[in-house]
Amino acid sequence: MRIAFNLNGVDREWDVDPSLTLLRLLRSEGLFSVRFGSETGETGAAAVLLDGRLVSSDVMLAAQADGHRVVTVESLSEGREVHPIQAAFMATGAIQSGYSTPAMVLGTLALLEKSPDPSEAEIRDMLSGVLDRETGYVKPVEAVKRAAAVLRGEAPDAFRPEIVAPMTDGVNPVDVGPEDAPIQAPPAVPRLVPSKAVPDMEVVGKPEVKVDALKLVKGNSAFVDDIEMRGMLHAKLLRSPHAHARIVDIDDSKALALEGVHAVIHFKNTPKIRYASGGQSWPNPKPYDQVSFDTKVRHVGDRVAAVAADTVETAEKALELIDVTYEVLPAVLDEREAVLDGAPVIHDEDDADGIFDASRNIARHMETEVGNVDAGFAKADQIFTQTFRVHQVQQVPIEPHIAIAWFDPDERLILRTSTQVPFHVRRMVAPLLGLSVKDIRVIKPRIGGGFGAKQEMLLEDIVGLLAQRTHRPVRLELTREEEFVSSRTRHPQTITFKTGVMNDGSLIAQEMRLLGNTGAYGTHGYTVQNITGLRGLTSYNCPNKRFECDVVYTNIPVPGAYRGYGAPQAEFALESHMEDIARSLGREVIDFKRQNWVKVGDELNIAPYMGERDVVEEVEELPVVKSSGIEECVAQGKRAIGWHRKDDAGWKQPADKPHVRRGIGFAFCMHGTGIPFLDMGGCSIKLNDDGSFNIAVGATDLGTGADTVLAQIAAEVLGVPLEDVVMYSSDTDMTPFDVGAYASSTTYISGMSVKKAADSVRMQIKERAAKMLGVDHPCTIELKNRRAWAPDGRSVSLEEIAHDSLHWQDQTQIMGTASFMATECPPPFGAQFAEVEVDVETGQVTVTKLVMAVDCGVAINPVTASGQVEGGMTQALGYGHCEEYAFDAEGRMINSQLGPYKIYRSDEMPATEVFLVQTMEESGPFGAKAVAEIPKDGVAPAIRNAILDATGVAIDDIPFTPERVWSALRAQ
Amino acid sequence: MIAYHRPTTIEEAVRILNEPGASKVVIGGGTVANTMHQEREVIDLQGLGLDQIRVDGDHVELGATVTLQDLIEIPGFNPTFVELARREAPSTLRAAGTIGGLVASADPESELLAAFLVCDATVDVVDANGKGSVPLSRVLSEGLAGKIIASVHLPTSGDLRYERTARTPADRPIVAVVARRTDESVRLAGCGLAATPVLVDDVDLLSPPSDFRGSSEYRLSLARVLADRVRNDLR
Repeated sequence: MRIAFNLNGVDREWDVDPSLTLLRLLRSEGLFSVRFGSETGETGAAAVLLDGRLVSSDVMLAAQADGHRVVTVESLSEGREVHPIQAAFMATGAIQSGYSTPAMVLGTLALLEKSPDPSEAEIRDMLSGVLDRETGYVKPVEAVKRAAAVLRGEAPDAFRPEIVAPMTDGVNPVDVGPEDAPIQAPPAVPRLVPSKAVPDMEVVGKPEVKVDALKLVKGNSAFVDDIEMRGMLHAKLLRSPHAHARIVDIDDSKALALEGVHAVIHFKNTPKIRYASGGQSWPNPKPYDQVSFDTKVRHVGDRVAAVAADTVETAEKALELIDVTYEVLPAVLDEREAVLDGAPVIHDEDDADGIFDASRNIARHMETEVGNVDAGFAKADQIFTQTFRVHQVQQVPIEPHIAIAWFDPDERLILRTSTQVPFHVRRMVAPLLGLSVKDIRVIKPRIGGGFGAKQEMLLEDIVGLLAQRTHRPVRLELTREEEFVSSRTRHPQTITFKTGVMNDGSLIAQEMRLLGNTGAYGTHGYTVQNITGLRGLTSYNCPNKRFECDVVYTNIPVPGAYRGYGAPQAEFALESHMEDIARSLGREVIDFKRQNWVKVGDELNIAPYMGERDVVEEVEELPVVKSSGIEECVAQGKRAIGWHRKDDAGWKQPADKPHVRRGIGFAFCMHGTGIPFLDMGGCSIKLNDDGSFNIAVGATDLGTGADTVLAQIAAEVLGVPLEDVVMYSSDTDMTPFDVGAYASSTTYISGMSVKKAADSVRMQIKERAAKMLGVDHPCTIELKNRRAWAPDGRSVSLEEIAHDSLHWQDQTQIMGTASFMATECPPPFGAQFAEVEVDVETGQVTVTKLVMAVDCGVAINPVTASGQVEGGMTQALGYGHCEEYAFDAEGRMINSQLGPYKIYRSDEMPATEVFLVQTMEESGPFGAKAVAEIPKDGVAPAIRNAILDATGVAIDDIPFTPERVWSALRAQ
Repeated sequence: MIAYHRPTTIEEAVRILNEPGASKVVIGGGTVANTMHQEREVIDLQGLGLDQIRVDGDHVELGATVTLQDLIEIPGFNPTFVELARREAPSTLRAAGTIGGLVASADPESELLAAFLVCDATVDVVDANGKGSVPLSRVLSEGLAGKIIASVHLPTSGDLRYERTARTPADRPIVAVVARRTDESVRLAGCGLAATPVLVDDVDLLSPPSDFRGSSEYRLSLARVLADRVRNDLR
C-alpha cells in the first residue's frame, strides 16, 4: 500500500506492506537511532516524535503514520554539532550504553517545547516511556533540567562532583546524629570525599565526557544491528514448548519447501560437539553439557531448530511448519526438589563431560574448609542457623542479544555480535563450526547493556552454522520474550548460614551450605556458586570457615552471569544473618558488624581457595586488605540516610498514617576487583602525525564507560587532553586480547595494561624529545600539555616529535604494547542504606530512599563511577523488591514481558544519593579499585533490614512483594 | 496482517468490521500492532474525527480516539481522573493509547476503567443496526462484537477517591478500589478482582482470580482493606 508522511522535515512516500511497523520502515531508511527494545513498546528504545508527541514506533504500523509528521534524532544536528539537549546529556553523564539516549533526547525536545521550565515530576513522567537499565534515571533527569536551563538562556555551572569533607580519620568510627546536616546538591552530583593520599591529576579523577558520547547522543550507527548487508537472511529459533522432553523426530521438509527459506538446522544435520556456553578463560570450567542442537530439551525456550529465511516473517512461518515429535518427560524447577530421590534426571546423556553426579542432578560439588569448623562450633558460646531463598531474575539489557555472521572476501567468518567476551566467543565457537580461531573475526561494536547476560556464547554458533549453510549474511535477534526464556538469568539459590559466636561478639566458626540452581545447563554454575561462597565467607573475620555446595540442574531457563555474579545472593543472606545475630545478642547492628568485618591488614583466609579458576593451587601467602574506606562510607551514609531516625518513634509510626511503619536498614558490602592469576587485558598505543594517539584495547565497553576510563588513564600518562586519544574496542583481528567485561576487572586490569603501554610510549617520546632538545637524560623530560619539557623550560610539541620520528630522522613508529595480569584482588568496600515505608495492612513496601557510599579507590571518572553506582543500585532494588520469574505448573514463564516482569521506571524511583570515598589502592592504576558490581550487593539486605526495623518482621526470601510481606506480617 | 483500513466514516468502519473473511482488529492509537502475526485486517479509527472532547458541566464526552494523554491535558479536569489516566501507561504509550482502546481492552487492572464504572459511564456505539448507547458495565461484561465505539459519556460529579496496592509505585495494581460519593450514595468499583474491572456492592461476594502477584485470598483481603480506606476517606 502507498503511504506518505513528513519525515524529518521532508515529505516522503513509500510502498509498504500493511504489516510493516514504523520502526522497521525508519530503520530501512537508515535512521538507526530508532531501536528495537521489545514487542510491546514500553522500553521506548524505538520512540520517535509523531506530530510532536513521543510515541513508540515498534508498536505502530507504518501505515498509521500516513499523513503525519515524524521526527527522529537524526534531524537535530549535523556533523559534529550537537543540539543543546544532546550537549546536556553528554555533560551530565546521562549516557551509558546510549541505546535509548536518542529516545530520551526526543522526549526532552517535546517536553521543553511545551514546558520550558518543567518540574521534576514532569521530567520523570516524560522519561517513564523510556526504560533504562543503566543510569537509574538520576543523570538523565539532571540532563533534562540542564537542557531546559540552557534553552531558557541560562548558563549553568560545569557539571562536576561536590567535594565533601571527610567525617572520619579514615580508621575510627564517629558519632553521627541529627546535628549532621545532609549534603545539599542535586542527586545526580556525585559526592566525592577526597583522600590526602591521592595526588591531583590532569585527566584522571576528572568528570570527562565519555569518549563515545557523540555517536551515541546523535543516534549514529553504533550497535550490532546498525549495518546493512546485501542479501542478509533472518534467522529465527524454534524453541521448546516443554520443560523437559526428548526429541523423537524432526521433519523439516515442509519448512524447507516454503519459498524464501534457505536453511533449517537441528540435531539431525549439525555436529554434536559438547561445550559449556559461559564466556570464560580456557579451559572453560566443566561440565560440558551442551551441544548446538540436542536430542533433548531441558527447559521451556530451549533450542530445537533454527531457520534462515529472506524475512523474519518467512522464518517465523517456517518454524510453524517444522514437525517435532516430543516425548514429554517430568520436569523439576526447584533445586531443593531436584536433588531428592526420584526426581527426573535432566542430563541422562552418556557423553557429557564433567558432571559430578548426573543421576542426582548435581552438576558440580564443592567443599572448602579453613581452620577446624567443627571444633569452632564446639567452642562457640552461641550458634545461629538460618536458611535463605533467593530467586531468579533477568539482566534485561534494553538491547536484546543479537548477532550477525557473514564471510569476508578472504572467506573468513565475521561475527558482529553483542557480547562482553569477544575473544572467548572466537575461541569457543570455533570447534562448533569446525573452524580454527584464525578463520574467525569477532567484532564487538557498541553494546546496549549486558550486565553478564552477554558473557556467554549464546547465538554465535547458530548464525555461524546458518552462514556456513547459506553462504549469506545471517542475522539473529532475540525478542524480549526470548531474552527472558532463552538467554541467561541470575541463579536462584537456597543458602544456609551457621555461625558460632563468642560472648564478646567475635565469630569463631562460620559455615555456608549452598544449593545453587543452574537450570538446564552448567555454564557459569560452578563459578557463580564459588563466588557466592567467596563473598559469603570473606566479609567477616573468622578463623574457621567452611563452604559446601551442590550446583543443581533443574528445568528452568538457564542462569548465568549477572552483574554481581553470586555476590548479591550471598550478601543478602549474610547481611540479613548478621543483622539478626546482632539483634539476638542485643548489640547495635553496625557496631557488631564492625567488630567483625575485615579491615586494613586483615588476611582473607578462605579467598584463595574459592576463585573462579577450576583448579585451586596451594598458596604461599594469604591475600591481605591494603585499603579500606569503610568507616568513612558508614559515616557519610548514616548522615545521608538520617540513621538517627531509627530511634524516632514519631517518624517510624506516623500519626497521620496509622497503617504505615517506617524503617531504615543497613548492609556492609565488600566485593572483588577482577580475578587474580586469571584475568588479563592487553593494550596497544601508537603516536600519530599530529601528536594524537590511537589506542586499541580488547577490553569490552558495554556501556559502562570503560573506553573513557581507559583513555583517561592513557591521557594522564601521555600528558595530553582526552580529546587527543582515539579509542578502539574490541575486535579480535585488531586489538590485543582481553578476557572481556566481567568480574569488575576492566578499570583495574585492562587499566593497568593501558598504563603499562602508555608508560612505554611515554619513555619513547622522552627519548626522542631528549635527542631533539639535546638533553642528556631522557628521564628528566616531562610530558605535559601536549609537549615534552626539558628541565630548563625548553620544549617540543608531540606533533614535532611525531614528525621527527615518523618522517625525519631515525624513523620509527613510537608505539607500545602491554598486557597485565593481576596477582591481587583489592576489595572495594561500601555501605548501603535503605529507607522504607511498609503498609502493615496490605504488605506493600515502598522504598523511599537509597544511599550508597563506596570506596572504589580513586574513581578515574567520578561521573561515570557514580553512574555505575546509581544504575547498579536500581537493578539491585528490582532484585530485592519487585522482579521475579513466575512459572506455571508446566515450567512456562508466565510473565515474560516487561510490565508483568517489573523493572523500575523513572517516575517511581526512590531518592538516591551516592558518595565516592577515595582511598589510594597502590596496586591499581592511579589508585583505582572496582566499582561496577558492588552496588548490586547490599540493596536487598538493606531493604530487608529496613522492613525488620519498621515492623519487627524478618523475611528470609526475596523479593519483598506485597503478598510475601503481608503473609509474613500475618504470621508474626 | 493482510490489510490496513483507515475509514473516514464510522459507518464505513462498521461495514468493514462486519465483512466476512479475515478477523478484524480495531485500533485507535494502536499500541498492539506488531504483535499481530496472524492473518488479520486492521481498522484504524484515526480518520473518523472521534478525537473530540466535550465538557458540559458535570458531564464529559470523550471521543473514542481521544488519547489518554489528551484526557490528562483537559484544562481543569478532575485530578483523580488525571492521575488514574497517568497511571494507565508510560508516556509513550499514553500518547498513542485511546479511550476507546481502553474500554475495548476491558483491562482488569485498569484503575481508570474502574473510575469510569463507578461514575456510571455510558458508551456510544455504532453497529450494523445504527447507533446506540450501552452502559460501560455491559460493554465490559459482554464485549463489543461487531460494534465500534464512538465515544464515552462520563458523569464527573461527586467525590472520587482511590486506594491501590502494587509491587512498586508505578506498577499496575494488584488490587485497586475506586469510590465515588454522590448526594445519594457511596459506590465502589475495583480492579484486580475479576476478569474486568467491576462494581463492588459487597466485597464478601467477590471471588478474585489468583496469579503470581496475588492469591485469591490475598486479593480479597486487599479489597476489604482498600474499600474500608476509601469509605473512611469519603466520610
